[in-house]
Amino acid sequence: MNLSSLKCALTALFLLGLPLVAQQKIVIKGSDTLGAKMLPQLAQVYKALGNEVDFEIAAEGSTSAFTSLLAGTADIGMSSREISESEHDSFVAKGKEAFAHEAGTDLIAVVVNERNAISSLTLQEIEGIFTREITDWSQVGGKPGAISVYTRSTASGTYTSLQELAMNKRDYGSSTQKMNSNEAIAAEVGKNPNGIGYISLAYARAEGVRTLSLGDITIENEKYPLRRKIYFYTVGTPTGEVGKFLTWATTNDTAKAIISKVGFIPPSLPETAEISTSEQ
Amino acid sequence: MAEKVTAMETTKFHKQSRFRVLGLDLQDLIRYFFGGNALIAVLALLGICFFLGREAIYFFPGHLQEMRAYRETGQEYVGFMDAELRAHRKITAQLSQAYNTQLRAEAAEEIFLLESSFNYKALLREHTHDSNKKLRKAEEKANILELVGGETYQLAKEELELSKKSFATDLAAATRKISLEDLKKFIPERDLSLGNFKKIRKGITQELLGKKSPWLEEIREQEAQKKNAATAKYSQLGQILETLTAEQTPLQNLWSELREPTSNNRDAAKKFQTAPERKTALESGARLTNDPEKKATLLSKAQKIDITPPDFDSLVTPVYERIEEHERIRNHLYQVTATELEKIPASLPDPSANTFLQQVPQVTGTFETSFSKLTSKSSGWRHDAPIKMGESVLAFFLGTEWIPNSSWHEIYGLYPLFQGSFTIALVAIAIAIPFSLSAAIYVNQYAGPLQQNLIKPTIEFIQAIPSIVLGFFGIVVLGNILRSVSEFPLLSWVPGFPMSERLNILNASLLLAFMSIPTIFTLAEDALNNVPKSYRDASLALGSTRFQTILKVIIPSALSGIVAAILLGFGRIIGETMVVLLVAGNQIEILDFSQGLGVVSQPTHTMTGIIAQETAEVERGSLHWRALFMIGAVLFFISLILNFISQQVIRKFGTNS
Repeated sequence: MNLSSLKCALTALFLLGLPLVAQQKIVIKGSDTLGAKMLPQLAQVYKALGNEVDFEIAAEGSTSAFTSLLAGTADIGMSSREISESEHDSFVAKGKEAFAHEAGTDLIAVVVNERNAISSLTLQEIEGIFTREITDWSQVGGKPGAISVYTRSTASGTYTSLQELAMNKRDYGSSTQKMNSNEAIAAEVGKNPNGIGYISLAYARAEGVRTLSLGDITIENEKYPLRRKIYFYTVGTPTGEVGKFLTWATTNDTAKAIISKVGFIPPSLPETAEISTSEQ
Repeated sequence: MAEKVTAMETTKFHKQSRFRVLGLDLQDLIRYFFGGNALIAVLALLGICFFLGREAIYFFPGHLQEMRAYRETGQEYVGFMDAELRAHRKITAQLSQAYNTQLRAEAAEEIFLLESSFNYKALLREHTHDSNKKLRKAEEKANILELVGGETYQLAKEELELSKKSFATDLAAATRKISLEDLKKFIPERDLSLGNFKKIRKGITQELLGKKSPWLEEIREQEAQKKNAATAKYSQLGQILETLTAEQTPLQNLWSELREPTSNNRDAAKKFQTAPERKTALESGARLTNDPEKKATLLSKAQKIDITPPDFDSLVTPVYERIEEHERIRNHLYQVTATELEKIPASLPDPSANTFLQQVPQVTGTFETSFSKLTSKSSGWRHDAPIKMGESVLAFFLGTEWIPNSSWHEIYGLYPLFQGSFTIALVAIAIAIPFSLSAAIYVNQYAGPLQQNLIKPTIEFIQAIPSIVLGFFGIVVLGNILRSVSEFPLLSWVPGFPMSERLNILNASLLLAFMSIPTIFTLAEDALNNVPKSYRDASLALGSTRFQTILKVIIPSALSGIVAAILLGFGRIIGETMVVLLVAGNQIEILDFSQGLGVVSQPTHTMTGIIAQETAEVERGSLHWRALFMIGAVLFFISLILNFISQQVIRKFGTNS
C-alpha cells in the first residue's frame, strides 16, 4: 500500500549507501509533500557535507507525523498543515509538547492532462469541480468529456488545505478518487485526458500534466492564493543531532537553495524561537 | 461400558509409562494438547465474534447521537440551503454547458488546430519518454550536486550534457516517426490536412526548443478573437447565465453566515461530549510531569473545562432569526429563475450545444421538485424534533453517501459500498463460472491421466499467487490494456466502451474471476467425481453419447455440489480486499445503471476496500471506527449466510443423487 513511502525509505537508504553502519539515525515521518522529494535531498546533501548521521524517511501523510511522534517512533514529524486541536490534546495527555518549526511555504498546483486545452479556471469553478457540481469539461469551456477528479487521501494535509483555500471548507464530492501520494495523482492525471487533481508545486513538473492558472493569476504570481506553510514538528525542543539537522535545514543557505530548487519557498524567518533556545 | 473397554485396551497395548505430571501420563498430555488447541481455535472465533459485535453494536447509538446533534445545532437547516444551492447550480451548470459549447463551436477550427497541437506534443513526449526521463533525472541530480560541488558535480554535469544530446536526437527521430495518421486518431471527427499537420509539427518543435512559433501565436490570437465575437453574439444567453449565477450570491452569503454559528454549536456539542475525557487527560498529564509549574498550569486547565451541557434552545436562535430572510431569498431566487429561464433562446445553431439547451427544462423540472421538497422540509423544521433509533439504522443501510471526517457533518451510508461489492462480485462470478465449470468437466470427463496431472495442479496453483501481485498487475498492465482495447473504434458498440477510467469494475472483476477459478474448479471437480461411476456406465450403455451423458446425467446429479462451489467462490470474491482496493477505482458513488451493462466501466468502492483504506487513519473508538466495524460485521454476516446456504444445498439436494 505505502509504495511511495517504501520507495522513499529505500531511495533514502540507497542514496546514503550506508544502511548498516552504526551511526546515529534520525527517523523522519509524515507528509508526503515534504517527504517524497525535499527531505531525501536535504538529507543527501547534509550527509555529503560531512555530517555522520543516517536518515530514515517515511511519507504517509501529515496525520502520521503526529501519530508517530506521539508513539515515539519518529524524531521529526513533517506536516503540510498545523497540528489540530485534538492532536494537541493527545500530546498534552501524555505529558508531551509538540513544537513547530517552519520548513517553508508550499504552493498547491491544480493540474490537468497536457492534452486538455483549458489553461485557467476560476476559484469558483475549482470549487464546483472538486465538490462534483461541475462534472463535464464542456461546462467550463473545454472539450466534452466527464471530469475525473483525483484527490489526496484524508490523512493528507493537502486534502484539508485545498478545502480551506479553494472550496469554502465544503466537502469533496463522493465520487472523487483518493490517491495516496502527490506522485500518484500526477501519474493518473498524466494518463487520463479528462483528469484533474491538485499537487504540491514540487511535483507539478511530472510528465503529462500542466499547471492551471487561477483566472489571470499564474502560479508564479505572488498573489496566487493556493499557498500554505509547511512544518517540521518535534517533541519538546530538539537537541543533539536532530537539533543540529533542523537548525541547518531551516536556516542554512544551502538548505534554502535546495528547498527552492525542489519547488518550495524556503522559510522567511531567520530562526524560529524553539531552535534558538536549543542552541544555548 | 465401551469407553472402559477402550481404556483397558490402551493400557494393555501400551507399556505403562512412568512419566507423570499432575497425575497425567504422556498419552493424556498428548490428548489434552490436541484438544486444547481445538478449544483455543473455538475460543478465538468466539472472541472475534464478540469483539466485532461489541464494537459494531455501539455504532447505532453513536450514529443516532450524530444525527441528533446535526439537528439540534441547526446545521440541518443550513444544510437545506446548501441543498437548494446545489439544485440551482445544476441549472447554471447546464446552461453554461450549452453556452460554452456554442462558443467553442464558433471558433471550432482554431480550437481543433490548438488541440491537435497539444496532442502532437503529448505524442512527442510519449515517444521520447525514456530519454526525457533520463534528462529530468540528470537535471535534478546536477541541480542538487551543484550545491556540494567537487568531482561528483562535474560528473553529473557531463551526464546532463549527454542526456540533453540523446534527448535532442530522440526528439528528432520522433518527429520523423509521427505521421499525420497518428495524430488523426485523437480527433477522428475532424479531418486534419497535411499542410496544417506540417505547421503544427514546425510550431511545436520550435516551442519545445524554447523559441516562439508565429503560426501558433496567430492561431491563439484568432481563437480569442472569434470567442470574443461569439460572446457578443450570444450575449443574451450569457446575460441570463450571469444573472442566475449572481442570484445565487444572497443565498450563498446567508448560508456561509449561518454556517459559522451552527458550526460553533457543533463544536460546543462535541466539546461537551469529550469534556470528561479531556479533563482526565489533563489530570493524568499533570500526574506524569515532575515540573511543579507545568503541573499547576495543567491542573488549572483541567479545572477550566466546562462540563455543563450546552443550551441548544438559545444557541439555535440565530438560525430561527434568519428563517424569514431565507424564505424571502428563496422565493426571490425561484421567481427570478422562472422569469430568466423564459428568456432563453429556443435553439442554438450548434447541434450539441442545442442538445444541452433542450435538456434545460428537464433539469429545471428536477430543480423544482427538489426545491419544493426542501421548502416543505425547512418550513416545518424544528431543532428539537425527535429522531428515532430506527432512522439511524435505516440511514446507515440505505444511506447513499459516505462522508467520514467531515468538518461539517459525518455521513455513513452503506448502500454505495454494498452495491459496489455486489456488482463486482456478480460480474466476476459471471466471468468465472463458464471457465471453471468447463475446466472441471473437461478434467473430470475428457482428460486422460497425463492431462489431469497437468491441468489440475496448474489451476490450483493460481491460488498461490498473492492478491497484492494480482492487484499490482491490474494497475500496471490490465488497466492499460483494457483502456486501449476499449478505445478501438470497431468495439465502440460494446456498452461502456470507450472507458474513461483504467481502474473500474471490469478490471477488478476480471482479476477476481481469475482468483476464484481455483475454488470453484476444485469443488466442482470433486462434485463431479462423487457421481457414481455406475450412472455414467448405465447412460452410455443405453446408447447416449458422451456429451449427452455429461449434460443429462452427470451434471444434474452433481448440481448441488456445483451450486455450492459457485456460492463458495462468490464468498471468496466478496471477501477479497487487496485487489479491489487497488483496482476498483475507489469512488464512492451510486452506480449509474442507465447504460445497462456499460456500468462495468465505472469505478466504484467496496466494503472490504473501505475498511482496508480507512482503518489506518481512523481514531480508535470514534464513530468512523465503529462504522468500519459495522461494515465488518455486515461482511461477516454475508459470508456466514453464503456458507450456510451452500451447506444446506449440499445437505438437501446432495442426498438425491
